[in-house]
Amino acid sequence: MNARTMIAVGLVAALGAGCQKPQSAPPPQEVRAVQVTALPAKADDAAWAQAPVFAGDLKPQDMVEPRKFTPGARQVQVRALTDGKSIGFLLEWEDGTADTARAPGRFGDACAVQMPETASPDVPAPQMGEQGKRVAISFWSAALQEALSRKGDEVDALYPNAKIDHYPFTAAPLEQNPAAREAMEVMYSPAVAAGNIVAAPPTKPVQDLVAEGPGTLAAAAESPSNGSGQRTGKGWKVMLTRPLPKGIGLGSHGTVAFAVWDGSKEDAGSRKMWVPWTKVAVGWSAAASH
Amino acid sequence: MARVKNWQLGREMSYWYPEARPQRQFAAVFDINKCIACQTCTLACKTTWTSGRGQEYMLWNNVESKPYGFYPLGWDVRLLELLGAQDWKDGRYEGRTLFESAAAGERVLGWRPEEIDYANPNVGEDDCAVGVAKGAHMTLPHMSWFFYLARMCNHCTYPACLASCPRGSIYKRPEDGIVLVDQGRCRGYQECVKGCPYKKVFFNPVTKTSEKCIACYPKQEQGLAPQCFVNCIGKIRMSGHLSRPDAVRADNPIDWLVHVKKVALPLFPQFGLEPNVYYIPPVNVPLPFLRQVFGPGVDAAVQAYRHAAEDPDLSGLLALLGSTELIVPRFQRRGETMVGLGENGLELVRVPTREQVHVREYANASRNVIQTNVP
Repeated sequence: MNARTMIAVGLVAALGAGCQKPQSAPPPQEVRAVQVTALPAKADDAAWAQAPVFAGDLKPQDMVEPRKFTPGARQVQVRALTDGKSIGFLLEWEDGTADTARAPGRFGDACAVQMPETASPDVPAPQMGEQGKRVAISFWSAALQEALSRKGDEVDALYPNAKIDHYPFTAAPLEQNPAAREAMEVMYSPAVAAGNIVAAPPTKPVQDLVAEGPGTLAAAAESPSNGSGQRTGKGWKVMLTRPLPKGIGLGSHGTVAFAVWDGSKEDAGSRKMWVPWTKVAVGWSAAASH
Repeated sequence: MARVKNWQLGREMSYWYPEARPQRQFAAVFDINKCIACQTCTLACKTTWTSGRGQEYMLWNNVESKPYGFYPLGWDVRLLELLGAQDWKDGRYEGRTLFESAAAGERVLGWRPEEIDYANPNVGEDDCAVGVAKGAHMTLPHMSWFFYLARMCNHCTYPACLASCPRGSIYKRPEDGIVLVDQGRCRGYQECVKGCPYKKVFFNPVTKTSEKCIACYPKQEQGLAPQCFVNCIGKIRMSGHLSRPDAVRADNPIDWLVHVKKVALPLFPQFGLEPNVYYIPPVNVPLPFLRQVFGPGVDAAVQAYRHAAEDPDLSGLLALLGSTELIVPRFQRRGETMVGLGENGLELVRVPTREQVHVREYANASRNVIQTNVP
């Protein structure tokens, strides 16, 4: 290309640019966690509005058997805030049915946020991490939240017309001995006796989990995550907060992945819609985002 | 998938994991000709293991009338319809198993019952397969039929529940092949409920984990038979351990009934799980139906059972069923006595090969009455 041609190309480009109308900024291709002094405590807190929306394209999990065949929500909208120590995510997705019970043949709605346990340029495999590269997961469940808000027995709640003849641990001689009664009830509830967190009465609607590859999901040693969800006109709006991964602070980048489960589509475990690893800018300036 | 040997099919098949047979395999023989559907086995299990919250609907053991009884509803016919017509040829299964029929992305061909499917555990009780026309009861043979099918977990050699679990929460004990759900690990995805063709894994809605028959392993570890065996009124059951076909011990009662005499058959062997509860088929039922349920060996098994009186070993072993709460690993017939032995050769139990029968005259001359004529 000679000098005359270069000038002509430059003129055409300049004229073309001058003819275009001013456009709004393209949607971010990363999650931008805006710095705040304190993370909100609720999903409908106005503070979430200062964070830009990341639109994550959800796709069916089709890499690990059993796979998901019936697609659910196509997109999850994510906002993020951080106070420098913890990070909060607000997830919104469409789901026409509120599935808040888990029973034979019934599954609950849920969502999760996954981050590497430790920051590293060599990120773990996005599908639940990999051996030696652990991921930390904050898992919110509509069924857990429902159980928290409910008083009384689970069987009565699920099956209001059920009539139970007798439980061995409700025998009259045990009425005066609560400790013995409780011990006996645990005997008839093996998952509780085994210390399984899915069986224990929930204290919050979120579980902290870790994994080093598909099928390795386990309870984390500590449970710092919190969250809550609420129905919107079209689906769910769920807030999840958790500590920032080791090595991630204000001004740095991390990675995050998202997943949602639709109970009405019998989603559970690996049958889910998910967004693979996405960059997250921690401490994004609110001014810069608008 | 791995290639594994399934002797019940007479061929290799595909399975999610490589073949890893236990040191010995828990197995059972049920003589369902003797079952009266009293459900004592069902309640023995129920009161022992599933009295907790969330277990109300669970029957790890149940007895249903066939062909119209189901628990859960349609458990077998729904799957047979999904699987489609398949063929046996000369004792070899030419069709596809549940593992070989699984769609891409699935581990097993299966279906998951809804809550309502568990609502009528004794549906179809005593319903006959053929209508009883006026006067039909006066003719022989009776064309109407049904039979009682006592069911528990089959503790399969190739469990579909185990293959279905994406978390590896289900395992076979290497010492006895009993299949268990790790209650500390299960997260209640219900894949096992969908995968088990016999529908013997149940989701507990209170603990949010799946639960199933544990073959009363705490009893078995003490040499005792499970609760549903020792409480059986009809003495239709025997528990023990089954050897591979190439390592048969002819003095092992289960081996003899299954491998030597071939009078006890697996339930729906075509599913490909190599189930370890073996049924002596009911002799009153049309053979085409029995072939679908118990496989191609059913013709010979029915004939052998019909002639049991001419075979003192068979009649003796049938008498040994349910005769002791101990697991009987060996047997020896001594004339008209069948002796159950321990592994060390010590006698555990003895029974006559034929029950003694006394027929009382219906007319009691001394009292000048007609009396109920019972043995």
